[in-house]
Amino acid sequence: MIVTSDELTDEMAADVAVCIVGGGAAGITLACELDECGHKVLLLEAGSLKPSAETQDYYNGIAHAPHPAANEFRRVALGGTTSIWGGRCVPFDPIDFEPRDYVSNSGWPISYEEIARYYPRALEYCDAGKFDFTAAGSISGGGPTIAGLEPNDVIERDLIERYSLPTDFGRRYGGILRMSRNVITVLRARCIGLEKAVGEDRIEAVKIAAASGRSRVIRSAFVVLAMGGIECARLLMASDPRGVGYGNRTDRLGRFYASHLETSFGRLVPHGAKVAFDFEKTDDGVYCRRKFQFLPSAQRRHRLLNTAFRLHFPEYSDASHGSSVMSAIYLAKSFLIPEYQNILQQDPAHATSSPAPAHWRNVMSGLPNLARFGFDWVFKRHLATRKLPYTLVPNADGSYPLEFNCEQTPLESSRITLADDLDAHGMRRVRIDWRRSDSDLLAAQRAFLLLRETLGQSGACRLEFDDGVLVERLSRSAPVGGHHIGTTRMAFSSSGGVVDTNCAIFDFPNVCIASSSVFPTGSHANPTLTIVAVALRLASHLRTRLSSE
Amino acid sequence: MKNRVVILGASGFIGRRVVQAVSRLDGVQAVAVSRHASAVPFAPGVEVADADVSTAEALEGAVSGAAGIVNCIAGSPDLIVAASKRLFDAAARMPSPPRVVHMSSLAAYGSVTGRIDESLVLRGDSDAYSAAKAETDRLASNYRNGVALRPGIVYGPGSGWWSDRIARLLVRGRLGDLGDRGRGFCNLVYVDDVADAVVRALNLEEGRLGPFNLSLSIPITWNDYFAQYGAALGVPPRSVSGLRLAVETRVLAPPLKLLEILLRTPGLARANPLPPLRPWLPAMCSHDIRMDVTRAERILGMHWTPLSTGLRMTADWFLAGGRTVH
Repeated sequence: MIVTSDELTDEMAADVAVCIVGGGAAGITLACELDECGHKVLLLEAGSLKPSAETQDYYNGIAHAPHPAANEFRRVALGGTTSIWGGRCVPFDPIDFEPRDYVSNSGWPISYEEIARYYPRALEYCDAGKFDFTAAGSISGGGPTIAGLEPNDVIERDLIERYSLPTDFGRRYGGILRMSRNVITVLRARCIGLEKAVGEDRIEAVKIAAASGRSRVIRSAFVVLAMGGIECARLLMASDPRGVGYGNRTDRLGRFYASHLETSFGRLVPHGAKVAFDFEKTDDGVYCRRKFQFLPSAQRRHRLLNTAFRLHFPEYSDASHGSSVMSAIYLAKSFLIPEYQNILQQDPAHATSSPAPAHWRNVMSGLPNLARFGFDWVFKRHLATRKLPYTLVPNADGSYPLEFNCEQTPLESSRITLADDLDAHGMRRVRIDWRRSDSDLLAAQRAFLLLRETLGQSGACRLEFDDGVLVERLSRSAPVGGHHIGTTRMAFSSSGGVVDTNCAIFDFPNVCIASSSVFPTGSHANPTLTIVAVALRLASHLRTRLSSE
Repeated sequence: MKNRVVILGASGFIGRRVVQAVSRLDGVQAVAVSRHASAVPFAPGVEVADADVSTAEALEGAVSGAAGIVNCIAGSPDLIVAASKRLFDAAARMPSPPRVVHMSSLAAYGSVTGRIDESLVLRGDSDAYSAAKAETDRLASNYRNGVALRPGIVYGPGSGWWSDRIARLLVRGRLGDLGDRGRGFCNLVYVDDVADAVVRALNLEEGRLGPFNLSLSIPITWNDYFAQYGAALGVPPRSVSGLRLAVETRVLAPPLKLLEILLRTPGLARANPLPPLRPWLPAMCSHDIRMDVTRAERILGMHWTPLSTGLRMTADWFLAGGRTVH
């Protein structure tokens, strides 16, 4: 059943076995998995069915460029940020779980298989087809990414990323929540504190602020925090009256905050060979795109971070791309939500911004293309259930900029803390102090140089870039919006992190975290698919614990 | 010598897939039995027998010596009950009673709402078909080596109602988002998963028998099914208002049904351009019923074909002008 916090009766709030805080991708997945588990489950969502300015204000805080503003790329509503996500589904790789001597603080305390066994079901939740990320296994007759690029011992050539509908978890799974007999979903129920049992290492209740402004306390045997990589740490910090932060005995809470580094650089020039640039559909009807990665052996040999490269489109702002579609989008950018405007202007300092007349010339000279794009936009995106993820326009000269995406080395100094400002419920707002290691720039530089060398030797294509500006450009690569990783990292013991291998907080074994905040490292992969996999794994752990108690 | 597994109703939509799955097993001889089995292009190696199992002699002849029997007999409710009774009687009299996998249905539960697991009493109170399915399901439970499979909505290439008819209605814009009327769960299961469940049920050890619900474990509403199937077919999404639905089901359905029956007569076009939207469809789409498939996952070890994979294969079949199997 779904109720609002003001409709929540004492009877509904009594004898709660599991209280899930946060109704986004992780919380909804967990709630669906615990449907009919024989125990009462409360799913608390701070927002309503749709985002509103009032609830969105909870996320305001302090952040500095190039990091996006604190309330961007996340949404307060049932379904959470899945109401605006792009839908890219990519699994982590086995190497992400290994401790690598050249990446400090790397290594997960669990194996790849422990997560990978949940990927097929996570892909189902995301409506992204089967667990196969090779072009050969997913697209019959798809051909190579770059024709003539032979196998070598450096790059994996023909990998794909799959795209969700993108599935809005609130809409897609709202029906299950509405119908459930044991899961009560409570909207406008913002959790503003965790209450510790006196003299015990246990959280006995959560405190919520209801829509009416009244606060109330809900007791629960287990609590799952599923509010995302920033809010989970914030709630643990804000709940502790001593000011230390719950789960922070060893000062790991809020630290190791990482995103993904992303930039677009260089020109890949195919030597007349055919290139699979645009979106394709897999045999199971899912949109997908090609990407390159380095083989694990090459990563170890060259001390590389786990990196993905995609063929990219030219900069919107630079009218020399000659595309009427891109110029039209650029001219109309003020109609887009801020998150998408950011994406259009990836590198404002360096991008060539052509004057508006140059863009208008493109628009006027390419009206047929623009009309075709308009048609596609209406029928393949706006009206479509499975949406074309985004617009890909190749460069007029046949070359492709390269989009680079890699993990960050986890840094203790990159962290979330509390600011002094209070929000409407008296909770301290967040301060985001995102940092990146200089060694990541060197690793990224090695990655570009190695890729250029490998592609150059292949004869199928070449990669061109200006060595002189490479590091400088990399140093301005932006942290990808919405990827909040590491603030309650998983570890073998409390000296290394905040949660154990079952995602339970070391200091409070009855509190678990389902979020990308438990990821010790972030891979190159967008986090949502792995967040869902982590939630599925936690669901099976909780079912075992519930049946044994 | 190979174990004989006899599939009754082998030329039907599910029967064909079951024959295919059984014929791939090592050490097993698949025997496809139906009235017109020899007209169906079964894989080489499949033994084919034309028999009308509505007569006792034909049925006993067909199943003699079988180590396993799969009951996919379809037809009128009376025929289903009569043939199944004879089948279980005949099987019980055999020297070593063979494993009988009986194709039951979600319909056997009848008007129940909410989440249903296999322990629920079968009401069979929706219509004559529902009653027949409940009765034959009980026959399977009372037979000591019987396994009843209760699939939800079986979709996939060849499915007349759930894939072909729905696709035609979607393509013509006559079906789409039904608003509140489409918020019930549609307990979809891909036809190959049903065939896979049959194979697993044939191999199940005794003592773990009993009925199994078969459906996707992450349920989907009818609205979402129409939206995702429409997307796979390349149809823009559309809403269908309550008024339009009422006109379709109450005013247009009877003449269209008549047209459908007329077109079925030889000499007229095979594909009917205007299939009727039956009155029970909207009722079904708002029926709150959700199958619990925990038992099938734990005991049979089922894995379900992801919806997008199944819908893609179904849409490809439909768009290639695929034929339905009744």
